[in-house]
Amino acid sequence: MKTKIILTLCLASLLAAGCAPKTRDIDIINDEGKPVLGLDYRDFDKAASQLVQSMLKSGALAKEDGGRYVMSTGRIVNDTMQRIDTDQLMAKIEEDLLNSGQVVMTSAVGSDKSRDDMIYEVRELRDSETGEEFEKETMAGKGTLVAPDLNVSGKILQRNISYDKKTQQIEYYFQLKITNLTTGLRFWQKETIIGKRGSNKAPAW
Amino acid sequence: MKTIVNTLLVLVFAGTCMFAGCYEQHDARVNVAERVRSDSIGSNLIVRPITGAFSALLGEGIEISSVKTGQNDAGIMVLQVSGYNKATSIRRFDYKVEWLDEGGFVIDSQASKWLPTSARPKSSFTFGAVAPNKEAVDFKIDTRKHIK
Repeated sequence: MKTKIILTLCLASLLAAGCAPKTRDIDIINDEGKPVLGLDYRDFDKAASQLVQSMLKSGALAKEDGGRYVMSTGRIVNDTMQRIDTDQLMAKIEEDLLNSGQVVMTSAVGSDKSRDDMIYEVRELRDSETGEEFEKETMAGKGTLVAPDLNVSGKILQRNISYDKKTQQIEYYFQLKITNLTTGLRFWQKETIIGKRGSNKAPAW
Repeated sequence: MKTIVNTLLVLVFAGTCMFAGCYEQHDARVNVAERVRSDSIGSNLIVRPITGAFSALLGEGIEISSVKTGQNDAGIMVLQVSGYNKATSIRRFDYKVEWLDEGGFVIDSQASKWLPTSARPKSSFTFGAVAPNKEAVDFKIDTRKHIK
């Protein structure tokens, strides 16, 4: 009897193990996986690619004297039902903007996420008693930070629509704009939409 | 039996002519899709399913008609690919542009990703891309069937 129970348990565990999907690495370069209802890395890639291409094509970032604009990253609002770290989008965009040779990003001003606190910490250190321990020439001097010319800010929106009894439609809007901080004029703006249709039962977050 | 077949053929031909309407060619820059424009002998209620079946049988798809390149105000290379969808159904596909520098090396860019596009049946389409920087002097484009 005991042997029978053990054999049954072994068989059941073997069957259960056979049903579980295997863990596989994703081919990030040529991913042929099915789309998902939420936002995945492919959607961020698509949105970032389309936004950057539009920015570069517009010529709005080309400085007349051939130099480079200093750009800060402002607030990117996440107005979706998902917990999105907006840096996921902005990191890609900032990378391509830097590589374009038309823009230098600043970490001195901008949203909390884009600022580098160390810039101010070294200045506090300079003005503190401990600052005397450092060589003066190696410390960041006053009036050395460069103010930004342009700021990029935006929003990610989500709209859920009932498509039919069994299907829901989810629309994600990626909106970005570039503003000249001296004049307040908007240099460029673009909205890119990613739409998905899927089961009503599947949660979109 | 032969008479019935002949009668049927005559009826199909007559129907084809009747439903043909009076479609006239117009400016080639404007594509008026089937079922929007007037029917022609080659495309009407009776012939349409047959041409659709033939198109699928022949495996008709996308054909590239031109690739234009230029530079924008910032001196960055831009390209535009134009083509025509010969199939009788919408063709959805992804494309990826890789930019090459003077030495033929691929320039690493976040923008070099698979991007979706689609072409309506028997219609022309275009898609474009912008180089990541001034170093790009050439490009490679790859396509794949869109993953549903």
